[in-house]
Amino acid sequence: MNELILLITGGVGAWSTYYVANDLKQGAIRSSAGLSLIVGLFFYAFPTVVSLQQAVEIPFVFMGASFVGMTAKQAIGSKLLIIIAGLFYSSIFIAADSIFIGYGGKIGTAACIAGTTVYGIQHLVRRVIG
Amino acid sequence: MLQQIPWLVLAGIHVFFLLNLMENDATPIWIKWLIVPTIGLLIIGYLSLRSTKEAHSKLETLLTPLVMCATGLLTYYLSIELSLGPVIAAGTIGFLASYLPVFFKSRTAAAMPAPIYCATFVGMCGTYLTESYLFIAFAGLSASVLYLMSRDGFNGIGGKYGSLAFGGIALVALIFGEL
Repeated sequence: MNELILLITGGVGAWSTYYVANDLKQGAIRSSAGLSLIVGLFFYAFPTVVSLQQAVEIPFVFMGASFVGMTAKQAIGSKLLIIIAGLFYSSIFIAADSIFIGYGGKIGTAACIAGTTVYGIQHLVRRVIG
Repeated sequence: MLQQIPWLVLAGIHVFFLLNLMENDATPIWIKWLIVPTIGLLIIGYLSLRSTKEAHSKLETLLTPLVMCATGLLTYYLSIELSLGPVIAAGTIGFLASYLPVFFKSRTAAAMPAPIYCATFVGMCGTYLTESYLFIAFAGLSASVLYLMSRDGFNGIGGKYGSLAFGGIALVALIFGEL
């Protein structure tokens, strides 16, 4: 159940950041930082709405997913692919739970791996289809 | 050769991360099976992303290490000493930094939000890794070197700044014997 919530958070975080950055034209940094700040403040103010573990993990997963959503429209133009990259990022986050504990940039690295992989798939598919 | 530096820096950081994930006993087997094709797709991604050639002022280049070092320390202070946590600390500084080009019309100010947001990730380190401000300061400087080396490449894919921060921290952790 916890994993499912984190996966959904990854998809929502990536999509919402991409939407605010591109469709609402707020730019990638403001979109990522602003949305992460809102989610962080919500769970800081209301930590008991979920379990303690989820109150800690959800803002982290959301912020990492927001890095996926910082991807430029020119690189990945489809919102569906951004959501897929967000879900892949969440999977890496869950799997990397016990490595690099306390390292800043860990979630960004996972986000970049997920984003670049989906970009690579998109590039490959375009080459194959022509 | 210079044009290859950005993706070589990023590739090194990503492969280091994935190999550690692969070696970890707690990593689910299906993730381990995914790592090899992921590395293949990453290489395709790196090679197909084009580098940009932007003009950078000397002031911007000189300011970047100082700003990144200071931002890393400030984020760490807000996160740990004021107990705000890393997400609120990094989010607040990144959000405020995104308005710099609005209030200051210079080209240098317009270029600063990116290294500032990158450095907030350095300050997201937890006490499990370090309680030393010296460590954070060196990690900020180290990340700034990686940032300056790769600022013209690999643009457009999210997570680049986080990867550079992680690379800076891993280098300093290696020097401090924390890795």
